[in-house]
Amino acid sequence: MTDQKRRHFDEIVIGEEIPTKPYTLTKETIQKYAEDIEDHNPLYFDEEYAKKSQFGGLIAPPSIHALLLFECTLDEDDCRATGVINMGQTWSYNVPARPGDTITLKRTLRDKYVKKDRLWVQHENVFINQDGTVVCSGGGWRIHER
Amino acid sequence: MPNTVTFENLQIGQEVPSVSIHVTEEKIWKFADISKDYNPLHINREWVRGYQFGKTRLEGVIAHGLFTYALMTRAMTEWVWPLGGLHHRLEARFDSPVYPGDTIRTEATVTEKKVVGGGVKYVVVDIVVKNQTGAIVAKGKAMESLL
Repeated sequence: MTDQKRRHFDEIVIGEEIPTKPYTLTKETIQKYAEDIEDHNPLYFDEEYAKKSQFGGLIAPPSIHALLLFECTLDEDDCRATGVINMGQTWSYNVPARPGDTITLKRTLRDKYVKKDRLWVQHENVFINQDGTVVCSGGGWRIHER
Repeated sequence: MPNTVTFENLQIGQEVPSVSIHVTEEKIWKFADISKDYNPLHINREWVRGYQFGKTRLEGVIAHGLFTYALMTRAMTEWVWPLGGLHHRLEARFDSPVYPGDTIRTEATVTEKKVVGGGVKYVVVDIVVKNQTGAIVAKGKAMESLL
């Protein structure tokens, strides 16, 4: 999809809930993500080790929201706009994501402003598992091109 | 440092072990594939060459900010989970681009300790991520809890 279907800065409505789609995490995806970030913690790979841990089973790395954001958003979401620059993020973690979890996303854009000739957009996200439990929440600040 | 770190024996100013990663174009592509973030900043050499961002002129493709964020997260979880603790929060700011060929490393220091009403023992850790030249590429603050 091209940027033509993604909103310009002036079209963004602050506070509007953005459409999303659920995503089911698999063990394979979690482990591929962990390998790609070179985090070889056995909590992601070794079922016997993870069962004996405080978590009671395999979990995903906390930063799995990096994957969940794009998997749960639609093609026309502004996070996919060409040239968007991620300036920073803050995330809070409640329970780990696990293999088999179906994650839904509640997403809003919290603020937008012009500062030093740049277009800043603040986004806010809450990832919830199939039990209705918050997995993690957060977001950050992006600079948009247009 | 004692064999086992506890909230009580943890010192303000104590360092959290560093973690590092060497960045390559292949790793950036892999992160793009797994995260589905195909922003041309990360994968299109022709598009990004000379891209001007404020005072910064990009020299080539750059790593995703969340790639650096994942490294900062790993620094915390590799430290706190073996101690029976939990990783609660990380705020991060991405100050400078990370390029293929860079090696980025965390430097993390305990800055605060606080017990709150319910009995949870929180620890605040300041994190800086530097590349091989010593330049800061990211900064952050993490909140952990210990037993």
